[in-house]
Amino acid sequence: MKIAVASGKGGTGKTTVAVNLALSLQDIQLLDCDVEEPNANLFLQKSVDRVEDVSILVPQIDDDLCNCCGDCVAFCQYNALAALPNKVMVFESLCHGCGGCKLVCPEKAITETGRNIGYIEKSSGNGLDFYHGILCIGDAMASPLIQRLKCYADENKTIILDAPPGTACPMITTLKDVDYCILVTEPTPFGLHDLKLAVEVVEKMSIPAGIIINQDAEGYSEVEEFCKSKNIPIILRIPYDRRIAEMYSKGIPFAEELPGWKEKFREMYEQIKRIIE
Amino acid sequence: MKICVPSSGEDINSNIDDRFGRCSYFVIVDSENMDTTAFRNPASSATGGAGIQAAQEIINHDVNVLLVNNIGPNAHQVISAAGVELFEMHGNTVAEAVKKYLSEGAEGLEKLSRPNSSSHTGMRQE
Repeated sequence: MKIAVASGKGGTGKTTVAVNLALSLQDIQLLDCDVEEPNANLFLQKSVDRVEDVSILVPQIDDDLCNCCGDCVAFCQYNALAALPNKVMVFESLCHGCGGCKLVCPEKAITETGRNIGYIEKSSGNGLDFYHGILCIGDAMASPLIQRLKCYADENKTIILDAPPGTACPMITTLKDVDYCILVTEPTPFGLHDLKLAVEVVEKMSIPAGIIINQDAEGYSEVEEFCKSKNIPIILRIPYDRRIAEMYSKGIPFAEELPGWKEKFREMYEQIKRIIE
Repeated sequence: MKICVPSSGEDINSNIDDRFGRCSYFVIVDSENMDTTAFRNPASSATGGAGIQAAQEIINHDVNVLLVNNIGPNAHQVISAAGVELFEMHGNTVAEAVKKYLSEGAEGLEKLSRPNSSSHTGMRQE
């Protein structure tokens, strides 16, 4: 079973939820898919080993074969190619590695070569299998790295995917093929605004979802009203509690220290299992 | 000789557009007969690589001289490699910019041998 932890707004507590949930259960695999800022290991503090350098395939033009017809330029949706009168230029950093230019080239002038975008690290032991992807600084190709990271998913385990913030390609790549999505929000207008965007995504992808309200406190009931109107269950509330914030600042997962929280995360997990079945 | 100016409209009297890759229109003036053509910039709402796509359009329209206020690194690379001459633009309208170029000539205007804006500058202007 694959469970993604996502949000619209950043900083609502995705990693907090993903890590505490993972530590509350047995036989878990945690994939930190926030490859631009993989933070889960700040709380797990596991020693990791590099398992793979990840590349995407980018085009290489054979100037002797290329007649500058521009078919590759017309095909590329990312404007990674430009056809000059006497040569075709490639902008590797814009290429998403789809390989389409190679397919449409009538002169067979395009071959592909690897461009490194990042790497994957893993650590195992203590019943928790952990992987994260790390995107090269300045690189924009998060999605291909996330796709590669997801290839390490072990279907015999419960897989928790810590998603990147937002509702763009990296988040959607993470959510593809998951059985359930936990959406973490905070009870603020900003939290609600971006939650609505995230709910639109899971609805479009037909993924069952439940909501966790983090930093829950009185004074802003609009999130609950929205959940009710959308018929999306609130599956957990994490209170606005100074002790949790203090532990967070020290990199301590709060379920390890505050009594009763592992049980709460396990109950939530059982609830998710019932919803999926 | 075809002179191209990024423009906010399709007319020779339209205001110039400060952006290159994400400008609204390109107006091309043929210096032989002062014929004017214009086309909407297909890159203005591109998700990425707008400068490259706009530069490609300039090349496809056989432009010889491009006058701009701002041009980023990728667009500059394409424009220079294609041999299109690149100068700083002066004036408020397309007509003024072209007139300035024709009266001052290549010697009187500053040649843009390097990009003068960073990537995504046009994203910050509406």
